[in-house]
Amino acid sequence: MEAPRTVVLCGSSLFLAGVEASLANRPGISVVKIGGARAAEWPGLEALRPAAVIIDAGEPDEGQPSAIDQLVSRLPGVLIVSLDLSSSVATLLTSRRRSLCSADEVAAAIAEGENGGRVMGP
Amino acid sequence: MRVLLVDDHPLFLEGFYNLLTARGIDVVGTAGDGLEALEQARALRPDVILMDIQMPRCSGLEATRLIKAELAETKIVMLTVSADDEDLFAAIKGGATGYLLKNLKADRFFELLAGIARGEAPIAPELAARILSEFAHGGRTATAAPEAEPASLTERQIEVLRLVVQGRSYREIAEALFIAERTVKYHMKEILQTLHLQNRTQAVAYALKSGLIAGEAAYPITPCP
Repeated sequence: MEAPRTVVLCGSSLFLAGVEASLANRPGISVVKIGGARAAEWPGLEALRPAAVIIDAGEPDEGQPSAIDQLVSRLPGVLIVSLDLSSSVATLLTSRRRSLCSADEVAAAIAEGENGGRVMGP
Repeated sequence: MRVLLVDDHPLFLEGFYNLLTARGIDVVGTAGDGLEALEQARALRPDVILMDIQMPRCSGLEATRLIKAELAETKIVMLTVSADDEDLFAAIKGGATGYLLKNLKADRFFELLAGIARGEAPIAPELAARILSEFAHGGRTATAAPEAEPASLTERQIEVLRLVVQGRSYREIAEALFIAERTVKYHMKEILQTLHLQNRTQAVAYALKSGLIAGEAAYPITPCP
C-alpha cells in the first residue's frame, strides 16, 4: 500500500484553513500545517518530504517571486500551489501551471505529482 | 446556530463548509449566487448567512436586501474580498449585520462567529474606521433614515447606546450598568425599534451622525486585530 502523500500548508487565513479542511480527510493525503514564517524559510521543510506545498499568496511576502524561487530550489520536484484570495482559486506554480477551482482538482494534482506522480524521496 | 453559506467560488465554498462543519457548526446549506441564497433562506430559515458580494445572476448586496425584507430576524454577514466603500455602505443600508474581509485569520473568524450569536456586529477594523469617519462627518451614504428624534430615547437607552458605541459587548454593558445581560438586549431592541434601525452597526452610525453620542467611540464595533 502506497504511503500517503504529505501536503504542507503554510499560513493562517480562512481560505487556507478551508482548503486544509477539504484535504484533511481524503484518502492518500496527509496534511501538515505550518505557520509563523514563510514556507521557504521554515526549517524542517525537507524532513517532511512533501508531495506538495500550498502557500497563501495573501500572506506578507509569501507570494513574491523571490519567495517562490527559494521554495522551488529547496524542494525540487515538489508541487507548489498558491492560493489567490482575490479569485478564490488555487494556482499550480510549478511546471504545468494552471488554475485549480475545486478541492477535487487540488487533490488530483497532488495525486498526480509534479513529475508524473513521483514524490520527493529521501 | 444554523448557518447558510453563499459564495460562487467552489474551492472557497467547499473549504469553508468543511471547516465550519469540522468545528461543529451547523451548516444547513450552501448557495452559489444571490437568487439561490434567497431560495435557500426561505426554505431553511438559517440564523446566520455568510454572504459573498460579487456573484453571478444576483449580487450578495441585492440578495441581502431581498432576504432582510422577508426574513428580518436572519443575520447576514458579508464575507468578501471587497473593501470598497460603496459595497460596505450598501451592505449596511441593506441590513447586513456585519462586514468581514476574506483575508481574516481563521481563528479570529471563529471568535467573531461566536460573537454574532451574542448579538455582536463583526466589522473588519479598517472598515470600521471608515464607517466612523463617514458618519462622524455627515457622510454621503446614510444608513436607513431614522424617523425618530434622539430625544425619544430614554436616559437608560442612551446610556446603553453610548456603551455600544464604545465597542462594549452586551455582557460588559450589563456589568457596567449593574443590570442583567438580557435587560441590555431588551434595551437594545427597544432602541432599534424606536429609531427604526435594523442592527447595532446602524445604531452606532446613527448615534455618531446624529450627535447623540459624540467623540466617545475610539473603537465602536467588535474589534478584529
